[in-house]
This record gives sequence, C-alpha cells and structure tokens, in this order.
Amino acid sequence: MENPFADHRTWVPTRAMGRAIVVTAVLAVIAVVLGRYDLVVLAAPFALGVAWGLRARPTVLPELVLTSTEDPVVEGHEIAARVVVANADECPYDVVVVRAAPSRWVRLRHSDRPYAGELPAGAATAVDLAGPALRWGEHWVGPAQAYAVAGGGLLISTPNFTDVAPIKVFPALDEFRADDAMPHAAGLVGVHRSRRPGEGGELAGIRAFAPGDRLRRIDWRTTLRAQHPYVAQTLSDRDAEVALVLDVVHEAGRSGGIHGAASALDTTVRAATAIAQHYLHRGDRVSLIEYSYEIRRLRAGSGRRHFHAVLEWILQVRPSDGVEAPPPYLFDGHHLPTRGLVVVLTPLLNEHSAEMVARLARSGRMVVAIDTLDTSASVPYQRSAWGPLAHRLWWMDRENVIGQLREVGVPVAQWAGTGSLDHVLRDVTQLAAAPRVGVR
Amino acid sequence: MIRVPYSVEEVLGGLRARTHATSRAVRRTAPGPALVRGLAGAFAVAVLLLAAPEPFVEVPWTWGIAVVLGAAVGLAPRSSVVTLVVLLVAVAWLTSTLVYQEPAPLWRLILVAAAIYPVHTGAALAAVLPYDAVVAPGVLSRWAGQTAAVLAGGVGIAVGGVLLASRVAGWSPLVAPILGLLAIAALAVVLAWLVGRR
Repeated sequence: MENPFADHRTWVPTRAMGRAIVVTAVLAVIAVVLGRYDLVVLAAPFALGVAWGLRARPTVLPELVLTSTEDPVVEGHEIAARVVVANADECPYDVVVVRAAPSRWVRLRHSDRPYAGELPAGAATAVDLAGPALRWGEHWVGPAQAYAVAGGGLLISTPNFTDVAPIKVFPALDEFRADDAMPHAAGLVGVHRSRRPGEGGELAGIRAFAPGDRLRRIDWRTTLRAQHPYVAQTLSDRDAEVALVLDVVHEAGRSGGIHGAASALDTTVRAATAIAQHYLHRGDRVSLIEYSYEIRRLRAGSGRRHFHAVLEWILQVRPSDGVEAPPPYLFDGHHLPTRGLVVVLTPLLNEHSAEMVARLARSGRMVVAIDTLDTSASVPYQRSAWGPLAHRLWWMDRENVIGQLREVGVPVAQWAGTGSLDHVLRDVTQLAAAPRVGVR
Repeated sequence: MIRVPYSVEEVLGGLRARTHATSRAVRRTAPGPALVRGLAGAFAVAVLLLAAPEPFVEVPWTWGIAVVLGAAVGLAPRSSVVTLVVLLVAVAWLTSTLVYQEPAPLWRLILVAAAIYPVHTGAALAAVLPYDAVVAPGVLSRWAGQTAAVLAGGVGIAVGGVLLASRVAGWSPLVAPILGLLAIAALAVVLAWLVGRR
C-alpha cells in the first residue's frame, strides 16, 4: 500500500502544544494586567513543560518492518507475524503506537488492538503476533502502521506504513481414497493395470517367442523344459488423465472457515485438492479447469511438482457471481481429454451448469459430477409464508436436474471425503467397459 | 453541507448505529487508556473544586458541573474542552480571590498548580493513545515522572522566584508584571526557535 503521507513525512505539533502556549500567554497577560504573581505560578509548569519538551526535537520518523510466515501453510495451521519498530533518532519517543491488521481469515491473537510503548533513542522493539489461518486462499497481514509522540506529548509524527505481507494458505486436504480402477487408461506409464499386453509388471501369461520379443523377456525355466524359447507376457501399466472442472460461477452458503460451515466454493476447492493429490500420488496426470466467466486452465501434469502447481493454481479460484451463465463458446470442452475421467465439481445451482455437464457426457467423455452444495445448510426463507413452498419447489427442480443428469449417464455424488467416489467410479468403469454406440 | 434526515426510520437507524458503535467502543476500551483518561478527568474535577469560590463549592450543582466537565475532559481529550477547563480554573481562581476576597495561602496555590498541570498532560497523553490500545507500563511511568518533574521544577522556580523577589525588594505590584513579561519573552524566544528549526 502506498503511504498517503509520503509527501508530508514530518513531525507536527499536537493540540496539547497549542493549549500549553495559549494557557501560558493568557495567564501571563492577565498577570501583567492585574499584577498577580499567583497566575505566574499557575502558568510556570506549562511554560517549563514546553521548554523541556522541545529541548530536543525529533526529526526522523519511526522505522517499521513487517514480516510474516513466508512458507505456505495449510488452513487451520499457525501463522506468525512480527512488526519491528525502530527509533533511529537521537531523541527518545515518549510513545510509539503500532498496529497491523490481518485479513479476515487470519486470526492473529491480539492483532485487533494497537500496541503503545516507549522507545529510547537508537533502540528497536518488536511485536510478535501469532494465530491460525482459518480459510484457504491468498491472505495478508498488514499494512503495519506506526506513529510516535515525543516532547512530552507536544509533537506527533505522521504515520509510517509498510507494505502488506502476503500469506498463502493451502486448503486442508480432505482424506480421499478411490479404490476402484480408472475407466480409461491413456498413457504409457502409470499404476493402472490395463487389459492390453505390453511392458509392465503384471504377468499375463507365457507364450512362444516371436520376432520382436526382447531377450530379457525369455522365461528360461519354461524354455528349458519345452526346449523352445518362451517369453513371459505382461500387461502394460498405463496412467490416466483426470480432468477436474471447478464450477465457480456461483458461490452458495456462508463459509465459516476451517472450523465452521463450508460454502460451495470451500467444498469445491477442498475436494479438488484432495482428488488431485490422490491421483497424482498414484502417478496419473491431472488437469484443472475453472468454469466461470474467465476460463482458467492448468495443463495436465503429474508428480509432486505438479501438485504444487495445482495448489498455487487453486488459490486463484474466485467465484464470479454473475447472473448469466458463461457463454457456451467459452467452455466447449475442447481442453478436456476425450479418454480421461472428467470430474465436475458443481453446486448445480443453475441449469447452465447441468447443461455443461450433460454436454460433456454426450460428447463421449466419462463424466462424474460431484455435488458441492451443503444440503444440510439449506434452510427455507422463513420470513414469508411462501418461503418454505418456494424452497420446496426449488429443491424438487434441483432433484429433477440431478435425475436428468443420471439419465444421460452422469453419476452424481455428494462430496463426503474418503471413498465417496468409489461407487460412482465403479459405475463409470462398468459403463466404459460395456459395448456402446457412441454419438460424437 | 448537512443533510436533513427525511424520515423517522432514518433517524432511528442512525441512533441505533451510533448506540451500537458506542457500546462496541466501551467494550473494547483497554485499561491503560481508560486509566489515563480517568486521571485527567479526576484532576479536572479536583482542580475546579479547589479553585472555585467557597460559596460555589457548597452548592451541589457546582459539583455536578465539575463532574460533567471532568467527564468531558476524559471522554474528549482531543477537543477544545480541555483548554476551556484550564482557562475556567484560572477564571474561578481569580473570582475566588478577587471578587470573593478569599485568602489565597501558598499551599492552596500550589495545590491548584499541582492539579491543573496533570489535566493538561493527561489529556495530551490520552489524545495520542487509541482507546483500545495495549499500553506498556513504561509509558505510564514515564508520563508520571515527566509530569512530576516539570511540576516540581515549574512550581518550585515560580514560588521561589516570587518569594525571593518579595524578600529582597519587599512585595511590590511591579514584581508580577515583570515576571509575566519575562515569561512572554521566553515564550516568544521558544516560538522563534521553533520556526527557525522547521
């Protein structure tokens, strides 16, 4: 943040200084006019206070440095911030007031109050703040602000500001496990057992040697017994591509942070992180696409480095909260793999989202929809007699949309963490294995 | 330009918002700033009653006015109320000694001087401390030490000077004007020095 007082960094007299001068002058004038020595006694401390306070006048503003936890943390974990304020002047500060407010989801203990202390010349002091980050996202601490008072309260400095200290808070990983196989395996390496013979670790059988077979594949025990070369045939290990589509056109619900209720966006982000971590850990490739007014995409990748890229990418997710759905040409699905698993995380709040999911399914992709709306938090509008009825109608309409999605072959599951996708993945795997007439 | 509220609901809404803000400020008030403001207010009440003429002090509403003014000093240390209270003390002192011809013994004068200066310094400190600040004990002890030192020095020098002048030359109405002129001259020097350094 730019310091609004940058052009006027100086020390200015306080109202107390004006009061001391006015009182001294008025009492002295009356003492002269009336010839009263007692008024001089009353005025003397004021005059001496001004002279004592201004015997050494400060010229340098308090120096301020704000630091915070540099490494990213996971929501719910502690963050530390430190504000160091220094007096580089030769004059001591009677009072120096420091404050540093964090963003809404960073709960630094006692950071809601300013700190006031004295600061001798050439000395420095620090205020340490610590507390948990309550929600994922890009947060910050600061800007820190400090002003000093010197000369017995007669001079005050203009405030000095620091820049904000950014803090990255990654989403907490919901425990996620999907034991079922992928419906499609696409690449040449990975952990999913394929039905095709090839280079791999899974034994498929023994067959006679044929031109093109590698010598190291020869099964010597069988060869010696049969007096003819035989090779061990294996099934190829394949990886799969998982595309996660994050529907963030609308936000729903009120987020309570890591310890409170989860909004639709919270569930979307935490579920996407957990699914990405699970499949990346198994060696698959994962890509992410944000379905909103500005389509963002993270290319498919694998490995630990890609997981960090996923975490950084996911911090940028924002709900667009528009009235209309994104135009179809913005999201025609050409970025999505045709033979991968497409997981759409959506609160299914409007028909356009459901339409997008159905369009992907009709294009021949294997699509799974995860309902990210917290239905337990959905309560009817109680202030009107029509509220419960309207809520019921909306609810029935939503159930109808979910039913229509299932009709076009999209299993819809509520996000519930561990193993919550097993049954839908099993359905999709069986569907992918079955012969079908696809319409592209 | 002042906007006139156009409905009762708007007025009530404004009052509710103000009440909410006030109650929040009261809940958040920290002990350190509250102590400083309380001391400034208490000294204001004490000095007003010390300086006021005796017939006034016997009337209950004088106490009420003193308490209201003391509360105003504590609640609004950045306002002009503090200056008005200090000048009101001088007016009360002059009324007591000139109009009511009450005796002004030295102890009473020293008490008034010792009570009026903490009103000024307490308000000065309270004005720069946010009401919800966590205040280090060193700030308060430094403030108390500076106030006591200046008070002792100022009152001591003034009283000593007056006593010395009256002993050396006998009491003369000319002594006070001379001392006052010296104070004004010293003030002018300080101001000129300040302007020159800026």
